[in-house]
Amino acid sequence: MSDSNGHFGVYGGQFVPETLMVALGELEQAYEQAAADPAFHEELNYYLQQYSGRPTPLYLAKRLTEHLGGAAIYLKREDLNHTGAHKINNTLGQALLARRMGKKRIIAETGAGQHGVATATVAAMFGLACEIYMGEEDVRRQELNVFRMRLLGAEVKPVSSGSKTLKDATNEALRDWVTNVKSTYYIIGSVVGPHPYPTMVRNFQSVIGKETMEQLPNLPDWVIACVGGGSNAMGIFHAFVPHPEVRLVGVEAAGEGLSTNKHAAALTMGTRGVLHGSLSYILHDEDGQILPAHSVSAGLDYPGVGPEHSCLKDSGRAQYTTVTDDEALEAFCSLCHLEGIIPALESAHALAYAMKLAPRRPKDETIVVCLSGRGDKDVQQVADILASNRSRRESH
Amino acid sequence: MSRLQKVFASDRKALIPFIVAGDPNLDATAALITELAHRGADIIELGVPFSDPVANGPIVQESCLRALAAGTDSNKVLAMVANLRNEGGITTPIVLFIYYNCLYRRGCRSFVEKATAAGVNGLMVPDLPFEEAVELHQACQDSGMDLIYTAASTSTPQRLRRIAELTTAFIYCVPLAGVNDELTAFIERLRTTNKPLTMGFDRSEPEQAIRLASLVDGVIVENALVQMIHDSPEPVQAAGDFVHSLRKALDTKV
Repeated sequence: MSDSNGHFGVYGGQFVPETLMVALGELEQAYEQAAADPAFHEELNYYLQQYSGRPTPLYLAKRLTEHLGGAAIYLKREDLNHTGAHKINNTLGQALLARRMGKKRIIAETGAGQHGVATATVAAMFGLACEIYMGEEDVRRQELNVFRMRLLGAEVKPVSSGSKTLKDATNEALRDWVTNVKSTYYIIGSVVGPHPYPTMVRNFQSVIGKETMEQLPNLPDWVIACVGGGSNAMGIFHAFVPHPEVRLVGVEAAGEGLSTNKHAAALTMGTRGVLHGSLSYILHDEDGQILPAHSVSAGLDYPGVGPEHSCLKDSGRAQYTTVTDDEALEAFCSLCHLEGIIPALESAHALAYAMKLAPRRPKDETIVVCLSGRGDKDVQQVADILASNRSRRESH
Repeated sequence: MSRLQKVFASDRKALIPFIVAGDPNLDATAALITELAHRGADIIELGVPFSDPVANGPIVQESCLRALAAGTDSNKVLAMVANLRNEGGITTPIVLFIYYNCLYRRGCRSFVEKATAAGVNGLMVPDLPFEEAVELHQACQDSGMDLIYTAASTSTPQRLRRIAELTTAFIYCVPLAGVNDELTAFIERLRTTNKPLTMGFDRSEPEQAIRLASLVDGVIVENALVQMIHDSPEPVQAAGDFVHSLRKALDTKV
């Protein structure tokens, strides 16, 4: 739980230009009123069910479990949401809030493009103008999602500054908000940013964990989710936090390896710092300059992490571990072969850790993996990587 | 009375050029500060480069990235300031404009102590609203460093009052872009606080500076100067001439 200025322990807070402080206060107030209003929940539930297709299934991955020969692996199928990822749980909630606040223009940042697509989708449905900031590097990697957003009527604004990825897209979205704060609602896509975003986004995503709990006869032994900014992880963890017998594991991207500096493991390798409005673990040098992150998965390619994760790490309530690009790719392929499910590369990180864990755990234990998104968006990239790996092997 | 407060005790409008330390390198920055101090600057606002300067636009961001690529860091910036004070004979007050993470990473208190020892007179932290500034405020108070708070035209009257109470030398006023009629009302709200007011100015025509100076007590020259330093083949001369032209305009018209 956070305090009134949105601190989770020492983490969180509101480190933003003064220009935004009143807007954040208004947002907090509007959100608290909405959260206390049964009509808001009723409307949100309507869209979650009838538009996005919730509840999402909790699927026992039988062949994967048998293949690994240990604990049972269940997949929380967030990939079956409309638009193909958990992101829409949050964008539906925030778009309804924007409408309540009378805002006509929506902006968002996106990395992999999943949050951008989910934002463009709800903006189309509610008839709101929509602009999406996306790093040029991600625009290149995620061509299909860029086209999707444009089809949905959003304007995609490529960001060419800095590392040209999610961090820089977030900078530009914040600048836009500073300039257009009166007319514009900024839908942040993860449990990051200044208060009240980390709490609000977590609450909108907490439907994942609540459903999971209802769908299982008993509490699971393990809940595993990938962590970039950390919204699917907070979403599935939240309901289980008060149950210490459930072990919560967040999986960060180790990229090409933790020793290479080409990774995105803010919790594992970072230290305390301020990025995008909150205090959390971040990747930065001794001068406080933000370091570029790296992951095969654009959605995890972020040098910060949500402040509540930092708090859960310090308290020991959740453990955080890492998975490399190669391990994630292997898990990606395994799920395709064994279960006929193409996972997002982000989700493949959570899966890769589950696949390491399951064989070491008894058969009567249960592991829930948050399958946060589907991998259609990643198919071209995976094809390219597999082809280049093949040609590298053949040349040896 | 601090050195910064003394600037605003005089009748003339304060002229405050902003430059990014280390763009193109710190030797050039030292030469620029020296020139600006001699050509009519009352205060130098020195930006410490940061990789993700969200409170600035693309001109300052690009300038920061050039400075970082040249190897600039906050320790070297402080060493340069100390050298200007000790060897260069520069007495013009210097305000560091620094993003909170650069300060936090070095340790709030330790950074403030080092900056004070180097001869920095004030700090301006663009991403630190007063709610989060308690530790830094105390550290500044203990070191005799001025901490300059920002007021935005979106700030509520209660917030403006608090900002005016806390700021120790002047208030940096940020209007919303393109909302001119609200500007006068914003300044009027702040006038009741009796704190000196400064505002940023992004153009290169002295007439604009004069118009702005009729509203506030000090004018901060921002993007136009940063861009000029980057574009000009003789940046020190160009920046000096520009600031001198603004000085003359402010002194004759206001």
